[in-house]
Amino acid sequence: MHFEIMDYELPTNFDVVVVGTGIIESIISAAASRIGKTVLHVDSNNFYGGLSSSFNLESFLKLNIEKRKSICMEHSSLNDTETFFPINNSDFTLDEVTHQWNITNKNKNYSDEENSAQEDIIAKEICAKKWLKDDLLKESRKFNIDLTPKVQYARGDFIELLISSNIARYSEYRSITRVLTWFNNTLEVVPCSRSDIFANNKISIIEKRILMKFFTSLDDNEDLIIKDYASKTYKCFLTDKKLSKNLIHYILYAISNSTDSTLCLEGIGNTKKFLKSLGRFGKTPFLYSMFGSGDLPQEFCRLSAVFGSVFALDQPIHGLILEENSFKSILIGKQKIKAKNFVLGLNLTPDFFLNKVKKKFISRGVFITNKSIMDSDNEPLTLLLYPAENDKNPCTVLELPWLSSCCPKDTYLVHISCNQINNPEDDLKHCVKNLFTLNEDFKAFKPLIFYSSYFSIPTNSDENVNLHDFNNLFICPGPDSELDFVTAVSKAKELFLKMYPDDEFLPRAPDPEEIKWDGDEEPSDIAQ
Amino acid sequence: MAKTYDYLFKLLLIGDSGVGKTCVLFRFSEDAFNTTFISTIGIDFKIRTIDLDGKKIKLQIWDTAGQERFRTITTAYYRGAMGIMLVYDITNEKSFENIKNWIRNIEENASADVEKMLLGNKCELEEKRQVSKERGEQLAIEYGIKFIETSAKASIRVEEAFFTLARDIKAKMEKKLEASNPPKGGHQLRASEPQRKPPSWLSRCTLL
Repeated sequence: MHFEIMDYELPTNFDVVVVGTGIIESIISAAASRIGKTVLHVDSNNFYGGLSSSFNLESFLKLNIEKRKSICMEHSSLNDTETFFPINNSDFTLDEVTHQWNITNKNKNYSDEENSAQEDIIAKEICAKKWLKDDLLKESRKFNIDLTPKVQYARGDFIELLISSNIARYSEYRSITRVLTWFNNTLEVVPCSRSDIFANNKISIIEKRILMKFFTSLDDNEDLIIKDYASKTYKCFLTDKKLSKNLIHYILYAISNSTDSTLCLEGIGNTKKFLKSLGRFGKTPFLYSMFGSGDLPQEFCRLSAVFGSVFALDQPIHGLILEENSFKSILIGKQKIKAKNFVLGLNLTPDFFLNKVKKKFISRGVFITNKSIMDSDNEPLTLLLYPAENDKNPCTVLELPWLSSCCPKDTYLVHISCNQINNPEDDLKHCVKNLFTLNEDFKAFKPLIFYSSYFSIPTNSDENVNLHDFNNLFICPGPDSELDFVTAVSKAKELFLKMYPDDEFLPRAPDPEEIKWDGDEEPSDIAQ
Repeated sequence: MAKTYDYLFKLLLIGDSGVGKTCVLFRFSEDAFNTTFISTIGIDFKIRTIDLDGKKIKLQIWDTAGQERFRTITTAYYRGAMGIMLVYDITNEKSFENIKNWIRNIEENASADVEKMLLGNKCELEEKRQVSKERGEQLAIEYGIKFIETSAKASIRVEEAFFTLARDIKAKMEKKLEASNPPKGGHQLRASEPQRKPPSWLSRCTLL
């Protein structure tokens, strides 16, 4: 923001200081604030969400140069009994970011400059999908480009938490319109609902019966399955069930989002999760948050603020001060801020607590295209679960139309992600080649790429954290490669209950009309 | 459930800490004034339904939840807002100067066609005035928006302000009913959503 001088100093005494505004930090912040704890929530970035954030096109294009300088700190403010742990300031560590434009500012088809302006208009009228680079840049604000795109299961823990805590009132969702898979070198719609299965002409009548029977049997024979298949793969289980090759493909790679090596019980769990979420809000089990996944951490921050948390972004956060085996305060700018508990995002954690385990990454691709990967009458939100191929990992492809409020009309925004093997471009090459074209004159059905970007997202699990028995420091892992936020919710809850074992995790927030303001009395319906 | 209104307008209050945004909100929604809710704990938004030219208009008015203090209003706060009340305190020069910054913030985050209005609050404190009415008017003209001086405490022109903003939004909306409105029709997830039995996937199967 552009406000010249910070008008106020931060208050200096809190129950909890939360550093970083990723999804887990934000959920914990909301939960602590909700039960009446005083919370200071800070970030060294000038935006919310960290690696879970979304950006408009212009900001997204600048991402690769926005690495923060490490901050030097004066130790003069420490006394003898205190030990200083500098915050690791490699906090925004997107890696290997590239941007490529496949369109120019000039329309190639018109060589005569004088007429081009007028002809451009005509061309636009004939073919509404003729975009120039400048046109897309002018629409920059209509883009909301996720660093870590997420879809949510309609009955998954994240959506249930939004509803039970009343945070759902801050957001709107769209149903994913269809789930696709890549099978025999072509895109196939995965039959989700019963009617989908019956409408599907790629599956024979017999297969349909077998499939329905299979889904029923999952609930019935649980004990037997656990006994016989505890150490076997889901693929093995499906094969034993005598399912045909294409049914196995649908169930294994799409419905259960599994691989050949996924264990049976995990595969069954995923399948049930998929089936359970059907029919709640739409034809597929998945929801996508309008305006991008980056709004989700912000919604928890909003609730946290509504219950009194103090928020400050763009803060010079130097480090933590330890005194007699527990952390006493944090140095932010020239201020020493005291707190009983400290919650840190893993990417802001002092190196001292991190074992030198090799970091893992997610390979990401972002594409702006002119049409959907599979034609449709309406403008679909598409989730393509692209199975592993040769030496490549499975890829998750999320294609968003303008209805998602993530891109302008007549464009599509496509996210591709997979667990990294080599580098983003190499890991996603086969998938990109099969789905898109770069050649404008190519008269194929494939969408044309206007713009593409590749980058790596570190996926920091907390396996490599060693807290050395300091019991008032809580570390939140970074982004994961799950489709949804299920792991984030359980991690946030776990850390919150470690901090406050006797308190309720995000009880329902009252609706505004339930809060009574009666003269000078304190409001009755808010946490104490 | 039958809809009890014709239109729902989402309005935002924006401006520096201490200019009286929450007091303006309470004056309009509850016709009350209470200086004890200085920090705005627990208040998300308030609702009041008004009549305009025979239409019932439900105004959902959102407060900043204190996130204006260190300029950390979430970008999500601006989603879907149709009107914004920019509030300053006529006894506080700085809050008036910062209006320009808030407008820039709105331009970066809110929808381009959001209706804006400037409020100079605390106009009952004439003896402490630092910002003349003329300067308020001038700034409003500069940005092509409407201006009004209000007092939440003395209940002066707060009604008028919200009615004016609502009327302007209504007019704009009716004028371009078919124009390219932001996409509508996302799901609002409600706890009251019919609790169908979850594993109904098979129970709804009638053909096999």
